[in-house]
Amino acid sequence: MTNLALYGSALLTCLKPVNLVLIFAMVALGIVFGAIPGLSATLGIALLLPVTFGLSTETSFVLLLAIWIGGVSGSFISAVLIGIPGSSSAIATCFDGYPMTLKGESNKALAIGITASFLGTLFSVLIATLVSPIIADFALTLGPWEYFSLCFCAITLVASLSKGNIWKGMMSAGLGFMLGCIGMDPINGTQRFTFGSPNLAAGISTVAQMLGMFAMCQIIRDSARGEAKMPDASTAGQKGFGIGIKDYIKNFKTIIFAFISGLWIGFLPGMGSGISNMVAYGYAKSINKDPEVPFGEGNPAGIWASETANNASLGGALIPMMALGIPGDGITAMLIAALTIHGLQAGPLFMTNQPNLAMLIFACVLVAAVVTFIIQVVTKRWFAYILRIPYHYLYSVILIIAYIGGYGISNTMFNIYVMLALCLLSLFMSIGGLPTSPLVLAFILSGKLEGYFRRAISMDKGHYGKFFTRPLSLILLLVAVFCIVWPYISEYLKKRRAAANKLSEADKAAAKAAKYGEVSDD
Amino acid sequence: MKMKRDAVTGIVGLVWSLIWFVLIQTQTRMPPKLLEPGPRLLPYVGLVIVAVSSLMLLLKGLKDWKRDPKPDKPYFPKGGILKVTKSYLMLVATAVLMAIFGFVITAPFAIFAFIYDLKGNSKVKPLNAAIISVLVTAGLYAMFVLGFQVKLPTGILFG
Repeated sequence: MTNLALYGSALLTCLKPVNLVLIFAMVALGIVFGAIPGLSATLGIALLLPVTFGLSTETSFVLLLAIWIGGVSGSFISAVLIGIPGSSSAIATCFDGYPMTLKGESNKALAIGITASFLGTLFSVLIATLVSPIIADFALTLGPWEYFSLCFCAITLVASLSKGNIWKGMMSAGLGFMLGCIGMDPINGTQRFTFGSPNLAAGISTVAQMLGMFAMCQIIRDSARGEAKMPDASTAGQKGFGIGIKDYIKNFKTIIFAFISGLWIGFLPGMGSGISNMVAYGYAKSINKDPEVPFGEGNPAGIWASETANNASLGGALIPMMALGIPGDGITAMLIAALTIHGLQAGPLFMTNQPNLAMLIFACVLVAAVVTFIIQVVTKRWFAYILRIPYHYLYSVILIIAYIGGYGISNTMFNIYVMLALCLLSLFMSIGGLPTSPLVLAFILSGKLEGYFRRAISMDKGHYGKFFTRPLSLILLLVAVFCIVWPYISEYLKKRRAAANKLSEADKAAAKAAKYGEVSDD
Repeated sequence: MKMKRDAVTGIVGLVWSLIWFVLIQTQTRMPPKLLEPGPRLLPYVGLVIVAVSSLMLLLKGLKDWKRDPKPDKPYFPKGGILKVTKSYLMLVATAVLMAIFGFVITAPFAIFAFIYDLKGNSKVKPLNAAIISVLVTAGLYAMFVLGFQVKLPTGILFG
């Protein structure tokens, strides 16, 4: 069966009444999770993962992907209506979205958000569907040397992008490796750090980790930090769709660039929608030299750029996840964990051995994007009500669902205690300013990283040379080293530039002083 | 004088590295005659990464402290540490009670307590909170046990 035929059949599976109802429900839930600041698509997936234990793989992925797409698309709602982004992927949307709301143009701002999100997801997933099988075919020719270098590169990239300090990112990744060590080692089955407990022999559960670190920690931490009460969101002026063909044509260049940059940034590990929206916004600013409305004061191009880019990153992140088994961000890491729960391993072999399921994943994202668009267009006028849901009720329900999820992993209380321990770890990490993404990625990739490395050494009879003599492996290792060194080089260059500027300013001042001195002497 | 947060993180990281080193020696065994680095490789990689990053953070913290001895802005506002400790203990208590009494008995009380813990300055009527707690428990039970066939804790007393 060709990929096209498989794709068609996957689309029909998604359109089955039961699956379609599930997609509608989960997209709606995802939009709510995305819209409410503090909740996110990641949290939604973490809570849903335990539900999928008893479901078929197909149904599980329909649920998870639908909440993912809804969640990422919904994050612009609070950015536009109250000026607080639903997640980091909508930070740049606030810059012009909220000023538009203040000027009474919330209807137009929301319409741009809906359309840009739809276009970004739709085209990026179509590209991911076409490109992933090609990359997967190529990946089958690679050996453990290249896979190790790829995993290593992904982790260093995520760590180096950590806010503030690369060492915080590295420390977080190191902790992820430590957590990943617990249980049996992947090559000869030696027990590590199990303290004789049979519960620990299988290692730390990814679901327990996600629930403890994302759901529990986030809720009690935000509550203790006394996050400010949400401002009131206005529902006024919601008539018609808000934009027309003229708006698309006017912003065509911005949309195209935002799409390409979002897709590429999503493809790179660790650089998801949180970065792409800012990059695209910066570009939109640079190509609109003399805008009618200045950027930051309600220019629609700002929303087009940010929302197209962050949703294009979804398709971008799907490519390495599907073709290589490498998660691009926290959410794709969880989707890979979901595959593992169902006894499947993401990567090139998955694309070859399970083409039906691979195509179902792509088809489901496409259908979910269309459903998100429909739901958002129909319910646009009621978006403000989502932001009025009392937090304390919602959070309490989420906490209790986390317990259900923790118990469901192995039907014992053990994983609930693991969840609580990881919640505490995450709390301490937040206080110390350590980001959680490198830990999650290192934890997920630790088994692969170790397995590939040790297998490569075994295959080469104890020699390490092939890591440096195989071209792709060498390139990836060089990229990884560059990621670690670059923050220092860039800081050094910045300092040198600042010193040079200071010097030239001092020279100018001295020349000026000399000139005035000559004049006064005359 | 209070240390910078980075320095404290660095010290904690170094202490943890030391503990981890002891754990590697006591909790992992190396099989003999291996052609590859063996099961201690990844634990050592984690150890080196955490130790080096902790050292760098400690140095950075000390450097910043020398430059500006003013303490960092506290992570939690006044009373925040007490609040987060209380919330965490509540989570632990819920787990312990769930292990003893099971989900159905513990959940309504836990939800009620969470609502009051997380309400901040919002006003909550006890009757509303109680009704919501019971309804949510019933709804979740129906959804997970009857709908998704997921098992819930039954508790030592009723299990």
